[in-house]
Amino acid sequence: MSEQKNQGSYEVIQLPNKLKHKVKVTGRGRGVDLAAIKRAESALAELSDQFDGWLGDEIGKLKDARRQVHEAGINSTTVETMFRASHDIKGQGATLGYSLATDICASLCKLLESVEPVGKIPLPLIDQHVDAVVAVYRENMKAPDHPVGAAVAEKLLDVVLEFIGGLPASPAATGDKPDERAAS
Amino acid sequence: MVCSMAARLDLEKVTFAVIDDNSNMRHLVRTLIISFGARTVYEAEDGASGLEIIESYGPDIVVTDWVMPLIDGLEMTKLVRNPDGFKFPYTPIIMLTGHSEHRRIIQARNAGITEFLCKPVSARALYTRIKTIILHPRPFVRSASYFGPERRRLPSEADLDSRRQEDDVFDLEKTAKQG
Repeated sequence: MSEQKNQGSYEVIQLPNKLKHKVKVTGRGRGVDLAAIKRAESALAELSDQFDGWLGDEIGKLKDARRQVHEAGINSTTVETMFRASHDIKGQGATLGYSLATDICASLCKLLESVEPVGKIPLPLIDQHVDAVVAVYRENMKAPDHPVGAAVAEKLLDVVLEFIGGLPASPAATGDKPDERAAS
Repeated sequence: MVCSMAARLDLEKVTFAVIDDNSNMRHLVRTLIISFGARTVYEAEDGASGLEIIESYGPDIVVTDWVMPLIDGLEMTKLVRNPDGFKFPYTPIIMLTGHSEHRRIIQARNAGITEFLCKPVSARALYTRIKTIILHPRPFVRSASYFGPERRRLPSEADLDSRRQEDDVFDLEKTAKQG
């Protein structure tokens, strides 16, 4: 099936839904199958006793990345390594029971991908983020509104935004990765 | 008022591929998919291996991370969406990522992802995306600059699940208009 559009031409391809033939469907109502969701959430709950260990592993990688930054300096490679470690905690922290770790690493990721050139990223601010995540984990700050943890996370984000705001516009807005920006 | 039972899907014969460089994340997503009823879940730890898995096994649905070494999820998606060069260019792809910025969503949309999902992953959000892919697949669009699922979400899908907003769903059309 094809269509012609005024501004140019494009083709709409309507495929037969072969996947649906592999799936037995019962019921026709809207909404989700709550039984399936409940099974999934129960399965996650069974894994939860491993979550602290998993986050500990991720924080170990973050500390390693920080050590590399201190040893080799702030460059595209060390920033990329730090970004990956921080991005993983940002993505997993809340699932593993530490949403404050997600918040702090979201702030760190923003710092790492917003500053151009990477040499301008202040090392103390990286250290403060890493130290904060380590403290959240060590002190078992699982509540998202933990008074100390939440205050630290908020303050770190404020500092990052203030720092970024004081910089000239960077290519980060175009979505470049830290190493691509450093290489350009 | 007649209340009809929500559609239940038997996913036993549906095959999945989970692509993420983080083994814990792969474990989490695999656990969810298996608990939904699927039996076959392939895994890969980067985009390059992911492409091999997709080409070798032709999974029905792919769940991929974005940030990965070698070939990331975005590049992998672009390589899949090559109707003249890749074996399974129509493979449904769910991008499950820690990226949540508006510009990232637009990038992913333009690369040809089918559904976009933010971490932290929730069982409900993932199941909803899978259900949409199976029951309400989008047509594909081919133009000079794009090949992939139609990027405009059809009105009939808009209220499939009235709690979608709680699951951090990004309406691709809405974000595109805001772009």
